[in-house]
Amino acid sequence: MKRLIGLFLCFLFLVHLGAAFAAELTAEEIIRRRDHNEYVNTASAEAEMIIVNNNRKTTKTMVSYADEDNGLVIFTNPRDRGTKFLKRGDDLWMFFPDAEELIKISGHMLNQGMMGSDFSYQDIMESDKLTDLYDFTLLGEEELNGRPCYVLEGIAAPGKEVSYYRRKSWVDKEKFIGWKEELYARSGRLLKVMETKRIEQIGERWYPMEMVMEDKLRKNTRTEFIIKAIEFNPEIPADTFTLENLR
Amino acid sequence: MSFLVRLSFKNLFRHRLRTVVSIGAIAFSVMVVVFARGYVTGMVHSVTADHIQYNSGHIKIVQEEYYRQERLLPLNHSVDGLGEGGLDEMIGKLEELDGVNMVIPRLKFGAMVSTGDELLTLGGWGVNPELELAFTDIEDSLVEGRMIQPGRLEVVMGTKLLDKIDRRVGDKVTVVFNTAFNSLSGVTFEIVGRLKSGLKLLNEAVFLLPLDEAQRLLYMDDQVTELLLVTEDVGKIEEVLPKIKALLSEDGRYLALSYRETSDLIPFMDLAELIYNQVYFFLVVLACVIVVNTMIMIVAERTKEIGMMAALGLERRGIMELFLIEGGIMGVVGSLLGAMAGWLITSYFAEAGLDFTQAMAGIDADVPFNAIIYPSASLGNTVFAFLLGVVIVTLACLIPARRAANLEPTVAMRGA
Repeated sequence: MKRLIGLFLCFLFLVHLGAAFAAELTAEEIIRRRDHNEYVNTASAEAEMIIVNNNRKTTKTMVSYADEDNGLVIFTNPRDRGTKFLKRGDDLWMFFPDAEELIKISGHMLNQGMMGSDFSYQDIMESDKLTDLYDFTLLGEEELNGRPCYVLEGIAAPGKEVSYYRRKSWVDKEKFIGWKEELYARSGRLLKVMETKRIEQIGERWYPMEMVMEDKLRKNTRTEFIIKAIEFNPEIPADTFTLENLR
Repeated sequence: MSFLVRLSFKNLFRHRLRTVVSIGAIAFSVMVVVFARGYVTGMVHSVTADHIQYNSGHIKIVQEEYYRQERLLPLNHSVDGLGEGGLDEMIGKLEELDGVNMVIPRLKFGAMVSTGDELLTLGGWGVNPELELAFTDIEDSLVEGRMIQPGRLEVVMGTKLLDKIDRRVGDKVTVVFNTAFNSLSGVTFEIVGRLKSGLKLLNEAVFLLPLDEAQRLLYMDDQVTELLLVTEDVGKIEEVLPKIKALLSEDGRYLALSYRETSDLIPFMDLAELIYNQVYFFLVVLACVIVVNTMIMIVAERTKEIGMMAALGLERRGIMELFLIEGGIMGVVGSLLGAMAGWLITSYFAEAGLDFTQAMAGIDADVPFNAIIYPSASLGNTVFAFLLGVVIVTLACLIPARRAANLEPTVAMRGA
């Protein structure tokens, strides 16, 4: 009888173990959950960008508005006050208070550091969901800064134009936030490293509030991006993302 | 002697065509020497002058770190005075030094101009217009409009640059640039002047704006990226340089470099000049082959005559002199004609210039090489080529002259 009970318990254990394996998330599901947290449909935010270049520290403040395809950034710090960036679909336009015409940013300029930062214009242009741009595979699990993380590798999906051919991501196992991201060129060269320093729960989603980007092609530079306030799904006037409004 | 000269002169007319061909060969080679030398000299002068005017002055003062990254036009390693003193005080101290005539401040920065869908990368030069007009030949290149004036948002651009961005003098242009605080900024300027120059740099790679406006827009008050010093005389640079270095040593951040130290091209030009001087020599030697050949033919034809003259008492030395004078006359006449023709051609091209704009389209704008070369027509060069022709031809005639002089009279008279 005892033997039968033992076999039954073993059976129950195996069934439970099988169920646990079945519940293990796929790479796509992990990134989908991350997108659910980090991808923004509509938002407005106030942010600060601290650019550290060798011993020199420059701070820029801004307010921004975004919907699915468009984005508007208005700089508010004294030296850049009035400068605006408008992203409309795949185009990026700039307005400067002392200029009589709008400037369209294109070509190699999109890969330059935005306002001297480690973020490129292309970085802020890519607003698609990561699942739409990359094919991810799960490499394993690691602990990063005391948090259990999935380690994933994303390779640019065929036909998709992305700034970085490969990205390695550390995604929190519980909160589904990317804590760290290594961005590589097709040649395998490490281009940038982005780390999330602080996250915050806003409503039901976790959102990164402080990030640090390091452009590995530049020496001794890093850029801290700090979100001071953010509102999801606000009412944004219809003409916010028009060229007329940019002037 | 006068008998030998008269005889030699008469002999030259015995075979006029042959004499004309020999003189023609000498004239052609001397003409080529005059022109080639004028061309190379003009090119070297042009490269040196353009480098001095648009890159280095006679002596250039920059921050050491700036010099290392000069191609990137960094704004964070500027010339901003000595110690606590400002830029004006520094310029004043430099101007007070013996041998320094002018101090020219320039603020160079990277910029972009929108051409609709594309952004064109170019360089902005904040300059003091009065000093630039006094030091450079930019006024000659200013073919339309006027020079920029301080305190105004205006620019002068090159012809090709204006074509690229589809603008004319009187139009407005918006320029985008990074300030010293790494902010991207954009400003609209009025285009007040158009430059047309063989220098790609001026024609399509940079635009000029007033220094005070550049300093304000880039947040670089009382700062420039370089100071160019003009000395009384290029030859005095080595005397002035130690004084400048001594003055700069109180700060420790700056380099003072002579124009030769900042040019990659000038040492090559010096080398080319040296090589070409040897080429000229061989060019004349080549023409001498024809003259020597003519002379050998003459000696062969006149063997009996030489024997007769020797039998009548003309010494070997006299015979040698006879042929040397004959060759010398051809040398003098040919060289004179060649030198005159060379001088005329060189003078023409010294005015008109030789335009290599198409051929040099692919050369980097940073290379201060003028696509229009103006050969230098100088009397010294013409006289040099003339003397080179005369001396080399006369020396070359020693071979046939010795041959004639060494003939045995009895053997020669038999026509052996």
